Amino acid sequence: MILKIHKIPDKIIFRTIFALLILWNLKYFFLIFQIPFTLMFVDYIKNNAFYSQISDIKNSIKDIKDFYDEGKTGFVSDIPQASVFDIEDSIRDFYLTQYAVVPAIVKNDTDEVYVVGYFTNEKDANSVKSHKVLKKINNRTYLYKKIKAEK
Amino acid sequence: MIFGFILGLVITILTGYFAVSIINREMELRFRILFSIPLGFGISSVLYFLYLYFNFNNFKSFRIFEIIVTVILAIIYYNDEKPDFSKHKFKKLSNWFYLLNIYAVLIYLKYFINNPMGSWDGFRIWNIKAEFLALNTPLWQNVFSLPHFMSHNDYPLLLPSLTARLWNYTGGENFAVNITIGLFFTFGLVYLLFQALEYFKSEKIAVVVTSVFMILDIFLVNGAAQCADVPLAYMYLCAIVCLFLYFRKEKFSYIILATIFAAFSAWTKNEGMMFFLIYLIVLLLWMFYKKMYKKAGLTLLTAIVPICFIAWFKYLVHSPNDLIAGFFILKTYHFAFDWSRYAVILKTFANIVFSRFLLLFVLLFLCTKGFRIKEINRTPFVLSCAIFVLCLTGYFAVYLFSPHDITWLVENSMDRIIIQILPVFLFLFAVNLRIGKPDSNK
Repeated sequence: MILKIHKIPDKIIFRTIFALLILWNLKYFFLIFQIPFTLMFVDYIKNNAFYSQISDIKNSIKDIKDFYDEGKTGFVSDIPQASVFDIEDSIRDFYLTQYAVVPAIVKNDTDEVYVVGYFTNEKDANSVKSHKVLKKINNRTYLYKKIKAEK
Repeated sequence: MIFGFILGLVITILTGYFAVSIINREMELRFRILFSIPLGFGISSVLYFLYLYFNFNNFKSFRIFEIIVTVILAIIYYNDEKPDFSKHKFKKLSNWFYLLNIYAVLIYLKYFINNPMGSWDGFRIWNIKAEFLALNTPLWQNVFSLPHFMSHNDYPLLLPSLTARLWNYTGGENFAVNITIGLFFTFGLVYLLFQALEYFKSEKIAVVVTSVFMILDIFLVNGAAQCADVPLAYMYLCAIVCLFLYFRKEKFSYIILATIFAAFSAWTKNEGMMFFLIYLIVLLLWMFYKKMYKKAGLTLLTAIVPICFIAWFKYLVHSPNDLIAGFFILKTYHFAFDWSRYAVILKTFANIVFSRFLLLFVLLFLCTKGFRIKEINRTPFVLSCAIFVLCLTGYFAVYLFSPHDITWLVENSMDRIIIQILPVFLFLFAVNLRIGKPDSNK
C-alpha cells in the first residue's frame, strides 16, 4: 500500500516525529533537577503513606513473642465486617495490615487472639467487646488482644 | 548489604548470559545480553521457588548452589570457546537515543519515588507475595492462603520469587531491589525493541519507534509499578524476536529459546499461559504443515518440562482461577450474547488508546511510504501475526466472560493489557515499513 504523500523526504518525517516528542515532554524538563535532589536529600521512602503505616504496625508487634503463634490475625474497623471489601479505604487498610503481619494471615473477623483495628474515633476503638486495646499503634490504628486469652 | 545485592544480580545475569550462549554460541552479543536478562531472572526465580518448596531453609547454602550453577554453565560454555574479548564489540547507538533514555529513566524514577512500594496492584498482589517468599521458614506457604479474591493466589510467581530472592541476598526487604528489577525489565525491553528493529529493519526506524515507546507515560508508570506486565511484555517480545531470528539464521536453537521465553511468560502471569499455549499451537501446526516432524518433536520436548512445572504449580496452589470458576460455575458463557459487554470493552479500548496512548499516533507518519514484507520475513511475520491476533482474541474473551463487573474490570486493567502486547505490535508494525534506509543485511 503506497500513500500519495510518499514523496515527502524521510528526513522531514523523522524530524517531525522528534519535534513532537520534544514538545510533548517539555513538561518533564524540571525532572532533570528534581529527581537527583529527591534521591540524594529527601527520605521519600519514609514519607510514603504505605511505608509509614506498615512500619508502625511492624514496630508494634515485633516485641510480642506469641503474636505469630496462631498464624492468623484478626481485622476490625469502622466499616461493618460485610462491607470491608466494598470500600477502597477499607481494602487498603486490610492489605496494609496483611503486609505488616506476614507470615500471619489476616482474617476479616475478631475470632483471633490478636486483632488490628482501624478507628477514626477513640470511643469506637474501645467498642470491641471481646478484646482489649493492647497498644495504640498510631492515630487510627490499634492492636487488640483477646480478653479470655489472658486468663 | 550492597555486596550481597550486587552478588545476587551478577549471578542472575551471568546465569542467563551463559545459558543463552550455550544454547546458541553464534548469537550476537547484543541479543545475548538482552536475552540473558529475562532468561537469568527466570532461571533464578525457578531455582529459588524450588529451594522454598523443598524447605532447605538455609539461604547461605542456596547462594553457594547458585554460584556453582553459574560456574558450571561458564565452564560448559568456555570449554568449547576460549574467552575472546576482541569479538565483543559494542555498537554505538544514536546520541538522540541516549538522551531520550536519560529522560525516560528520570520519568521512571519520578513514578518510583511516588510509590516505592509499588502501585496498588504491585503492592497488593506482587510485593505481599514477595514478603511471604522471602521467609526462610515453611510458613512461606501461607502465600497460597491469602484471603480475598484480589490477592490472586493462583498467579505464577516469577516476579515475587525474584524479588524475595534478591531481598535475601541484601539481608532483608530493600527497595533498591524493586527499583533495580523494574529498571532491568523496563529498559531491557526498550533496548530489545531497539536492537530487534535495528537488526531487521534499520537504525532510523529503531530510534524513532523505540523513542516514542520509551517516552510513553503509561509505559513508564507500569514499569515503575512493580507489577508483572512489563516483564511479561519482555518475554513476549523475546519469543517473537527469536522466531524471526530462526528464519534469518536458520538455527533451531532460536526455536528452543523462543519456546523457553514463551514458557517463562507462563511463569510470569496467567496471560502468559495463554500466550504459551497459542505460541505452541501455531508453531507446531506450521511445523506439521511443512512436514518438519523432527523439529516439531524437539519443540514439544522443550515445552514438556515447563508445561509439567506450571501444571505442578497450579496443583500446589489449589486456588481456583476466578475467570475459569466463573465460566463453569456462574455460567458466564451466556455473556457471549450480551452485546452491551462488547460495547463496553470496545468503547473503553478506544478511550484508553486515544488518551493514554495518544503519543503512539505520531508513528502514523511512518506509514506515508507504505509497507513491504520482505520475503525472508514473510513466514515469521505471518506466524507472529497469527500468535498476536489469537492472543488478542483470548484477551477479549477474558473480558467478555469475566464474572466481575465489566466496567470496573476494563477500566482498571486494559491499559496494562495493552502494555503487554504493545512492544510486539510495534515490532510487527515497524519491521515492514518502507520508510528509512534499506534493511541492513546481517
